[in-house]
Amino acid sequence: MTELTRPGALLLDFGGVVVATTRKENWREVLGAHIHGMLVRAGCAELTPEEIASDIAAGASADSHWKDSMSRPYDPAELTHRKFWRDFVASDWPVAARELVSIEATPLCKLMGELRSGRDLRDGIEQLFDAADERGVRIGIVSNALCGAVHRDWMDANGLAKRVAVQVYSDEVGVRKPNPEMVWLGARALSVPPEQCWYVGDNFDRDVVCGRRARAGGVILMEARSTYDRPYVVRDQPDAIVTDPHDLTRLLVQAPPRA
Amino acid sequence: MNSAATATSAATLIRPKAVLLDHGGVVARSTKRPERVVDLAQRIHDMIIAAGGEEVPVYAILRDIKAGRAAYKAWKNGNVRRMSPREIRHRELWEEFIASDWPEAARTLVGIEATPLCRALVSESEKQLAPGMRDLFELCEANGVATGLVSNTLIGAANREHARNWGTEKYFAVQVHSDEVGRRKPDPEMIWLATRSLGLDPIDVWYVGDNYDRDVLCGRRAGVGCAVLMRPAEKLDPEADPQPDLIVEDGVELHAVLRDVLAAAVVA
Repeated sequence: MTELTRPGALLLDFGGVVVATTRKENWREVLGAHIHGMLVRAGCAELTPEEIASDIAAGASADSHWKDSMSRPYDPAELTHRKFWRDFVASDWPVAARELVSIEATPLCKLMGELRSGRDLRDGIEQLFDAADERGVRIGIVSNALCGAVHRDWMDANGLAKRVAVQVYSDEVGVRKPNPEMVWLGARALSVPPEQCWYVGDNFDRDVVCGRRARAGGVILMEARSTYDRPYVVRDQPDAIVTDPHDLTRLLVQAPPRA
Repeated sequence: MNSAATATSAATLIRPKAVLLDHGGVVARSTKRPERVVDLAQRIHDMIIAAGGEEVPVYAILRDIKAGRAAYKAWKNGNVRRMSPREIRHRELWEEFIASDWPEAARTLVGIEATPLCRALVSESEKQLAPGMRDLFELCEANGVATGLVSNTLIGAANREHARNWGTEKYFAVQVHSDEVGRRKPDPEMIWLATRSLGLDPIDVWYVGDNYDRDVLCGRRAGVGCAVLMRPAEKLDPEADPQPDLIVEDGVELHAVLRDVLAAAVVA
């Protein structure tokens, strides 16, 4: 483990670092009922709301497995909105229904992002941002997202959008962590070499691996709900493990300036 | 029925099972707000500074937005010749059409923030629901005729938001927006996406657009039952090829023609 020096930029994952994410109850049923209404209006009455909800659950599960597998390639691409609906959810639906959810994939991904997860600001984020500002450390978000617009809306609604200099979301830029380009995009936009960035994420196979591939100056793991649920052995270890944003603030404050 | 539509009488027009509509120029009318682009240039300038990048002056940002849009327009006009033109990606517009010669950090930043920046860019034209449209949607709904949007747009999310704000979202069975599906009119696939999602044959739909080289052409390529051009009389081009099946001035006239067609079909 190398000694951490004060970074020029702090790149933060969104879910698990800036916000604690909780799964909402019944989101599949609510989304299934919504899509059922859409299909009926478009003249397709062959699927029941329950069948749709069941395929949404199956699609979400397949997506989770796909994401786990995508931590093995060096430079994975992000799934497109259309592919999620067309390939993971609606493969066996009638042609018209599959076509409709493919066309409406972008707003459906946004709605799913809003219905599926609750997001609560992690305690200590504001103090972290203050400490970074006081030291001239630029802040960016670097996050895998099926729909980054949901995260952007959350950042706006919670007054945090103006406190970060850039927000990199995988569905918008087309690549996903652990593709090192995710960190490099943030670093380039902030004019800070990757070696002088800290990258902070909450899991091993996306975040720690991504930070290492990008040769980030500090690879920091922040513990969250599913940090230790690793899909397979990940050899990379972080430079530091912090429990929460307060802990990260202490690390930042203690880090000596670069020589 | 008034003059512009008389070339084709209601009796010869098919009764549509769906009416598919272009957005800008058909469903929506716009008013330009050029000051919003100036505000956007200032916002981009401030974003670049906040990110620690080398400064790009506001006048240069504004100049390059104008140049990038002109290039995008030329690109669109050229692509009309293709059978299957694709839509530009948000990042591509900002990184390659607008910011090519900016410092790397600034170019990367606008590339990353391209989606919200596109949203801000299109807000230059303030949109209103066009006259006659609500009546048209209600007429369709009352007669079991589906309605849908088929739109070339930099950002469909903006059109979707207008539909929510105007209370017209409930009328649309489907909204095909080029940036979301990755293709553009006159690719007939734009219309076929809509007809497949509605389980209809293209011959059973009307497609209404406001120009010849995207809309009438797209309708012809897709084989729609009626290609409708919505355009003021003074802007008609008798030399254009292909020509539409029906020409209407505006939504009010489209509503009147469709009402006659639906009434005639009932009598028949």
